[in-house]
Amino acid sequence: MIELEQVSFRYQNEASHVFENLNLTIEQGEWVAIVGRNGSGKSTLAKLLNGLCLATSGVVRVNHTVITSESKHQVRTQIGMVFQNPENQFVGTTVADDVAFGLENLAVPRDTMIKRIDQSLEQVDMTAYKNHEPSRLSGGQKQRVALASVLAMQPEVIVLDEATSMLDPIGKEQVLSIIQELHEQLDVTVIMVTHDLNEAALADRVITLNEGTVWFDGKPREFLEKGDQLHEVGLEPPFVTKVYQQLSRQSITVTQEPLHYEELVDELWRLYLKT
Amino acid sequence: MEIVFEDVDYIYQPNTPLEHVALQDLSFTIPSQSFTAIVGRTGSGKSTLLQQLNGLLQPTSGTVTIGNTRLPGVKAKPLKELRRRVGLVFQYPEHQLFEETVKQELLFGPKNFGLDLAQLEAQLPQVLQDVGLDESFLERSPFTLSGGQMKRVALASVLILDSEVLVLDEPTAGLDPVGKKQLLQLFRYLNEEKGKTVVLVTHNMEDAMAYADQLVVLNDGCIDRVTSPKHLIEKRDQLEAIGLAPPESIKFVDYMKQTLDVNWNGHEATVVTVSQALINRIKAGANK
Ligand SMILES: Nc1ncnc2c1ncn2[C@@H]1O[C@H](COP(=O)(O)OP(=O)(O)OP(=O)(O)O)[C@@H](O)[C@H]1O
Ligand SMILES: Nc1ncnc2c1ncn2[C@@H]1O[C@H](COP(=O)(O)OP(=O)(O)OP(=O)(O)O)[C@@H](O)[C@H]1O
Ligand SMILES: [Mg+2]
Ligand SMILES: [Mg+2]
Repeated sequence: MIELEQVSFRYQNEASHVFENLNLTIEQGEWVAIVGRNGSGKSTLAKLLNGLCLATSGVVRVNHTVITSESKHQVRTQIGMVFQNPENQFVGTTVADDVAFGLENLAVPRDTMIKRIDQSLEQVDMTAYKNHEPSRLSGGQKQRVALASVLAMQPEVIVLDEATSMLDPIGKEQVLSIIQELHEQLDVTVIMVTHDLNEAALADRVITLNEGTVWFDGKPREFLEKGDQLHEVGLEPPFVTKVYQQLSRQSITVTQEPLHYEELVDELWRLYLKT
Repeated sequence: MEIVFEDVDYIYQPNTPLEHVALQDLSFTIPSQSFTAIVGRTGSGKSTLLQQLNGLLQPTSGTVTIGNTRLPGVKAKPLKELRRRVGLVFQYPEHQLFEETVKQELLFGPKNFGLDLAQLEAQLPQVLQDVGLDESFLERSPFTLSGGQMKRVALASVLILDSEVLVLDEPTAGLDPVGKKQLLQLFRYLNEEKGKTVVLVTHNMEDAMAYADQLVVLNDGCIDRVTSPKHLIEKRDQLEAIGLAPPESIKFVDYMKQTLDVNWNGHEATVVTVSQALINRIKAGANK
């Protein structure tokens, strides 16, 4: 479980705060999407969760441990984070070394380690690049390796900061299904920063940040119900949401805000056309 | 400025155990003043291709002709001139930014190319506004910005050069949806009204369809096809094999045709056309 209590945060030498008295609780096993315009504080929030940023005042707790400069290393064994720029987390000279690094820190036995490296590279389709230098990969390949490093650690909480932004649509789907599996089968807590609202709609809960405050916190359906109001916070309703708005204006409605086009079309069939 | 690739190969780390053929036998043309999108799966060679356009990487064999400059084998001076005419925005903005302040960053290129600094300095607020930032960013360090803010500064630092060709590597990745739309519209404006040739990499077929007139599809370092977005969408069953997916609007239309037997005369799939088709179908009733 993750708790933020009255958290304020200001970057060093900056005049203004990113967050002031922020309160937030994320339950174990929840899948939370974090959305919001550029500069709204998403990455800063992510970094507060793994101690890369330390609260200026207030407390951040992970599994009842308050994150401090002393406890942050221990906390990082439970929280795996994929950074917005994967290059910021590469440490190894080969892809395999890089994945190994996190495991060495966890003191994973050697044979388990080898198994986990192979397995996680396989999961992200990067086995063929095992001996390549991380810095000499393509943009999307770098993101895949960064994800593999975190998957190999088998953390209780995974924080993904726009971790699929450079992937092709098929690759994105693969990653989302890996996440879905971890979430459903291993009860991993997933915190996913994204600009893709279709991706956000897959989560249990959507948190929208705006200028360091929580503008919305609730279920994806309620989030999409905001419709055009989303523009106020730099977002754009998905295609299905816009079509549904248009239908509603003509008094064609379905029982609940659709998350996906298949859901909308199936409901229209059931309510209006099925004989 | 027309750009012609002829039998281009590019090999990373040639003659080493890690030798990697990233581009193979590419021949195609980017017409002057076109809006060309380069698409293809992760690792297919898109960024490698883009870097040939301003000589940052040069063909291992074959030639790339950009206007009257032919690569490889160009001397330092014409190479600098080429970079003045072809502005490149990198996939990761961190690769582009290095100055202490955003202002210095934006003026670095102009200084390097000997442009009129006083005049450009007056334009800074406008350039920032074009990428959705305000003047308060001028004195900030580029390295203390959020990911999307950095991307915007990287874009601005190239836009300020007013180059003839804009080469953009996933320019909207990391931008919020409103910013993304604003920038795509800016690229369209620069293409249509200012006659710039725009070459951009995207994974998003929605954007490719809405903005590009030519598509170059790469697959494993080779040209899969050069086509128009419309043609590629007609062959959408082949998209998955090259790592792509149809836009949500097209998937929507396919699904509604299949499930509801909706009349669809192949118009453009927009919110209005799709909603109207659904409304008409529902009005026709169960026993259509
Ligand atoms: N190292 C830093 N020093 C000072 N200010 C910073 C630093 N990093 C970020 N900021 C500022 O803090 C605010 C929040 O930034 P953050 O990176 O959390 O935004 P974000 O929501 O992740 O945005 P994006 O979608 O662009 O990645 C922004 O105004 C940004 O300029
Ligand atoms: N500096 C380098 N040294 C060696 N190999 C490289 C280097 N950069 C890229 N490669 C390899 O060349 C191939 C093409 O890479 P490129 O960056 O052009 O792909 P891309 O199409 O831009 O992919 P993405 O969509 O992931 O950014 C990849 O297999 C990559 O691993
Ligand atoms: Mg961020
Ligand atoms: Mg690339």
